[in-house]
Amino acid sequence: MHGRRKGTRPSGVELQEELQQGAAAAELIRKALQLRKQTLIYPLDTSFREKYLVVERALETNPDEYTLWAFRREVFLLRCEHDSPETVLSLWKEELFLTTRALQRHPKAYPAWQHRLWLLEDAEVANHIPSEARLEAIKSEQKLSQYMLFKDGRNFHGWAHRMRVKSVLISVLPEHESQLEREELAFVEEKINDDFSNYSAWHHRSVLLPKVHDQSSEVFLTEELDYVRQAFYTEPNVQSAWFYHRWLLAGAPARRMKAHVQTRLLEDELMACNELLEIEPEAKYALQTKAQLLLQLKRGMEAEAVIDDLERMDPMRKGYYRYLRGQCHISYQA
Amino acid sequence: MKIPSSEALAQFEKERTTNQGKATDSWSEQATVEERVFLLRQEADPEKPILLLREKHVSWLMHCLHVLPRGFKAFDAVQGWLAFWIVHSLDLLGATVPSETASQVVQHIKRFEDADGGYGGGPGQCSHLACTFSAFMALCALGTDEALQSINRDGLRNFILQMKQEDGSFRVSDGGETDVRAMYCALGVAGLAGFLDEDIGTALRKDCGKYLSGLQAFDGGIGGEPGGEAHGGNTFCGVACAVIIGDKEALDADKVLKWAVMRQMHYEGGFQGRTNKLVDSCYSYWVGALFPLVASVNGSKKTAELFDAEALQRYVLECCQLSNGGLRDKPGVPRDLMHTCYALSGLSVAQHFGKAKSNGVNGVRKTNPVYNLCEDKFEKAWLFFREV
Repeated sequence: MHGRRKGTRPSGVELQEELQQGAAAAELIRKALQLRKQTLIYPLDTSFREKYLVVERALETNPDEYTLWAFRREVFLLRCEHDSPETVLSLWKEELFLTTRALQRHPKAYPAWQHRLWLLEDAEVANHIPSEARLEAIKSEQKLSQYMLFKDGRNFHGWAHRMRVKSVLISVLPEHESQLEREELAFVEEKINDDFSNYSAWHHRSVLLPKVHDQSSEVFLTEELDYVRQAFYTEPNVQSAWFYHRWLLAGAPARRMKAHVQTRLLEDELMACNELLEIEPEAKYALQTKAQLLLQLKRGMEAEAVIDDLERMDPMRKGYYRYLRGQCHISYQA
Repeated sequence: MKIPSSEALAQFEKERTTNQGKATDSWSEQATVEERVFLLRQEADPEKPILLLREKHVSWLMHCLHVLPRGFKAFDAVQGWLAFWIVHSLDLLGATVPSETASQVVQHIKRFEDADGGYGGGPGQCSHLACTFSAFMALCALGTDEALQSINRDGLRNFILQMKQEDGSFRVSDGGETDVRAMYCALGVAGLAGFLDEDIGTALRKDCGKYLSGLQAFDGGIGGEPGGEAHGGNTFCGVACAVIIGDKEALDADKVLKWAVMRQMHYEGGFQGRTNKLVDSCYSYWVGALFPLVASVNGSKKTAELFDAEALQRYVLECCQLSNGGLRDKPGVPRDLMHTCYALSGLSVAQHFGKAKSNGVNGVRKTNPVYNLCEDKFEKAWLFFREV
């Protein structure tokens, strides 16, 4: 549905072609589903094998057909039980390649990602694949998501796949856990440096950093604040870095303990905000951050003045600013 | 086509978010959307009120409904969704499905039922929680006795239980993925069908809260799985699940609201699904409904005021309606049934839970924010499943 067709509606010849393609695709799916109704018996005869090709073709163009992926699993597991190890390994690689082809055309098809994960992670499958081959495949698996995220840095399926693959790798090579987390963090940082507005990358930074960071929370915070300040100084009107920054200011969890954010640190950040606002007085996100900082510093009256400005610039969120004003009054009393 | 005045252009340059010069792709896409919205608004006659094109939408939806049982070729695995989107949209618009058509739809959906009690995306497909949810809700939205009686409660109960995992989550299908959408589909059916009040309720509820609390991201929104990025659809699913099971501790509702408030687009007025993404009318419901959902948890009426319901209504009516019926994601893309359903559902939230004025003519019926059924259909289904 999203982004399936952009631009004007097809008409005439184009519409005819589209309807024909739709009908052809539906026919493939119908045949594939029909085949699944037969009882699966090994050995699979020639007639079955010929018809099974239809399933592959159906999935390449319609990877949302989750029933057909289930069918692929059923057939694969049956062959695991009876075929030679060499054949099974070869079939396994074919299955992986099928998901690659499907995902190339439809990068957001849930069942295609799931099928790939199953091939790499499932215990029953693992019993039939030589461990070196499996390990090699898992080790180079991040190349797929790297490519998908190169095509679309916000594809959350790609990001989720990276997390899952990392988990599988850690389960197979537990001694490499901290190295794997660091490598992942390096990837995230690369994506942020490519494009500060890539919010998915900032999000994954928020998940990874507390796992990796081995210094005291105060040092962690100071370093992170420096890093994120570079981002919003360069591009003050892009939300991403600001939202991450706000999380840090609220005492982002470092090693599962919320850091106590020292007043001095908050005051430094306030100074940085004010410097920015001198150059760009209408920078909305900087103002929002300034209001949050003043509240945290218990300077309610000044916060209220900033909120007045915000309400004028951003009337859509006046309900929210009203709520924030309420917080100011609480902070007077504190 | 009207040519905007220089004053109007100057005003637009002041109001748009992309007036602060940028270089990335996402920024230029955003600029394009803002320009399209601006041009649409310019073309509108300021003297004429903006109208909901009720008859056009109903006419298109009825046409789609007739085509449906004969098989809608391109979307094979989502036929239950097509039925729900059409029937619920008609319901919101105040139209009634003719009884013969309704009967055909019921029989058509029955063909999706799998031997294990769930529904697939179409005939011959294996059970899937999203397909089950959509088929079930389509039948409840139809609301006829025949529709409700066609539901195999025992089968549904078995299938949903089978999908429950050790860690409290749900898988969408046998061998399928585990995520918060699956949990919402499971609990949505279980909640409405009454399973949560039965003995099996304990098993279904087990560790749901625990799973949900692992989904809240650093910015307060909710991801699809632990560690996942905050996303409008997943945030809706997570909060709705917490409401269904009555767990007030699983999520930090305050943080969800703060996240949601930031999703309303400054210039367009509609909602985006994630930070730095484009406006999309379907989030009118997925994000819009978060406000009444959280209000039902924290009891605060002020929650409804946190979003600009008039701006949301304006976006849907001004920018998303097609003159020949149906609604779309945003200007520049074609209409489709999914966006028609959720743009109208979001409009309902804006009118009935927010402060958007409908002036009667533009009114849509009130939807239940948890299950997204019109209130009378929700009540009928609720009572029906508890009388059996």
